[in-house]
Amino acid sequence: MYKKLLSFLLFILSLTSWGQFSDTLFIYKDSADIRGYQTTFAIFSSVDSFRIESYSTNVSVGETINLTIINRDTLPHTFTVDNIITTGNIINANDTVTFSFSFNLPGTHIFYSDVSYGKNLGASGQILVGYENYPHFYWNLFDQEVALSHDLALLNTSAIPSSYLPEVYTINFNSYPQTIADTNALVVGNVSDTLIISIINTGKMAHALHFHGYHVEILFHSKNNLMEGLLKDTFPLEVDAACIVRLIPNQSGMYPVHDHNLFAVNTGGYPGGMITMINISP
Amino acid sequence: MKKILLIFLMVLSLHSLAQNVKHVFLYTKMDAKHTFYDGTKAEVWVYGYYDPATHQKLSASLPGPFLEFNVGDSVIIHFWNDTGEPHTIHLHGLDVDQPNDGVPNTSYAVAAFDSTTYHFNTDHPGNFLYHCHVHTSIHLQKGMYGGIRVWGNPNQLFSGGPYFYQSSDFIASDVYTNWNTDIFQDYFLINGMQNQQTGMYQQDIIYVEEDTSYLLNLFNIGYSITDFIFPNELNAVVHSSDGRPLPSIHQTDSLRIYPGERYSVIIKPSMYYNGTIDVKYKSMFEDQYHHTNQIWVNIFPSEIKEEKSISTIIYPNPASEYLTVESLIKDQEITVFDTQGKILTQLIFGGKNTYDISNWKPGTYYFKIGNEIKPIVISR
Repeated sequence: MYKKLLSFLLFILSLTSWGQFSDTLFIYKDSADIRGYQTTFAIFSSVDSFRIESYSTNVSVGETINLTIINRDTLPHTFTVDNIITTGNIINANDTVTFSFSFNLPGTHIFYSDVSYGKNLGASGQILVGYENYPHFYWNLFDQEVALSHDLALLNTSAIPSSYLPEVYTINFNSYPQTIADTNALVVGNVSDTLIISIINTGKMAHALHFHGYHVEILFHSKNNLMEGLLKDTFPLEVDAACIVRLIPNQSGMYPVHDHNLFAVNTGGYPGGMITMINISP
Repeated sequence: MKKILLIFLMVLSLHSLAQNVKHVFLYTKMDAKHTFYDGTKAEVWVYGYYDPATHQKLSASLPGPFLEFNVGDSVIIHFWNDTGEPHTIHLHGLDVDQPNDGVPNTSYAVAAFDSTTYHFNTDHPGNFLYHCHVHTSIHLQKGMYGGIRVWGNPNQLFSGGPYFYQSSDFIASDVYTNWNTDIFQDYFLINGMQNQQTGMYQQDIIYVEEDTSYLLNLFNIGYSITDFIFPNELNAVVHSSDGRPLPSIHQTDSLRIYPGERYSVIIKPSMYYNGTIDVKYKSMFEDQYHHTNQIWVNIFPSEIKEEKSISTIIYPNPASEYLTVESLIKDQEITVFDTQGKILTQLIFGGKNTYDISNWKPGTYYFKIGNEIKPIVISR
């Protein structure tokens, strides 16, 4: 009898959690060495410690997302998703807040901390909505001027100067060749697979990504709907843009993808910076 | 067994017959000189053609030779690196396989004074690029790039796409002549030229008849974002990008092209227009324009086409000792101005005349022929 009751209870419980996604993120601020540049980052970390990570996840259309944010910084942050969560979203130092929300259409969305020492230092991540039946990869394009990162962290400034000139260019806050150790940044698949890449630009300048070996189909582009449906080997992501591309590789091999603003491929010496790879098996 | 082998060889030979094999012979040069619009000469690294029979090096330029192929070609680029540093050819946008990708990390670099061949097939009509991928941020900025056009059906942009009467190719780029990785370029180029240079050569000026479709192949291989500004009179329509048709075409008065992108635009002017397509260069780092170049456009009624297009030709440009003027018009009057607008001389030409300019000071001169003004650079 007890067994039956327990089974029924578990069944009810599983029904209530269906269509729900839950996770906990920790905001940390610290410095990290990126190819010889000691740079300050603020990070939404999936573990309770500072580590270089661009948090990303995939949910279904309409699925409820419950994200609990624990602020381990000494300053307040926000959890902001444009057009979804824009008010009542402050998380004070050492505070914990849970946000519940959902998306009604397929796409990819940036979440970020909307303070000068937040997203400008990397406090951002992405949520891919839909496409859950395909292998997917996540790229968060980010650039950083080292001295500015320290000034932002120390509250010496809150603005990005017009003379902004980054030395550090990253994908998921790593610079090549570290990018290819990141399973989100290194695209791996087989010929004829359908691979989905969710890309956001949380940096402070536009980036023009060039794919070697393949054209990709742009399925979604938050800043330029004229780009949607295009087959491209090079395309821009403006500041705060989010896009989804579909790659169906027709040949095997290892091919680079990089920013074609070639200053972005020199972080710590060439080749370094905003570069990753696509590795396709026969 | 022999029969099987014979059949296999026959199938193989039929396959190779079906493809049109095109050979291209390119070499590298690291001590070429490029003359900028203000007379400044700077060392550039460039590609040029060479004669495979004699290994004689032909002209090398910035940008490199413009390569043209047809869909279905099987291309072999014979690459002779006749310099003391490694170089490659990356075939940007042609989706070649890994060994032919020209990236040192994933394929290979061609060592100093070595040679190789790159093989690929042209599957899609469109605009592509080639450039060196060894320390790209230096080698490309120093001039190791060129354009590629793959043609489909004659005078048709792509199968099922629009037709056009004529076409022009415009490659936007920029250089920083101190050749380091500073972000601030000091020259902004269209087909290697800037300011008054852009109107120097007949092939870089768009002469188009009213109600005639004219294809513009636009490339950006620089560090700047380029905005091509089309006057309304041109009725510019964007049809394809990166060698693929757009799912839906759109008319536009401006087109932003980021580094590495290419677009094909067809203009079909409906009225007389004599002016420019402005090309504005904007830094990736700053929200401001640093330069504007002009592409000259001359739309004319059909009945005066011949007179407008070939009435007078002046060459070479840049010139050094002699200047040749060919004019179909008898007693053609030409007025020569300096950069301040001061009249220097008036010349009367007819037929073909060569003029001694060895005593002219180096610089830019403007030749007014009828209503047209042609800039001519004298350099030594």
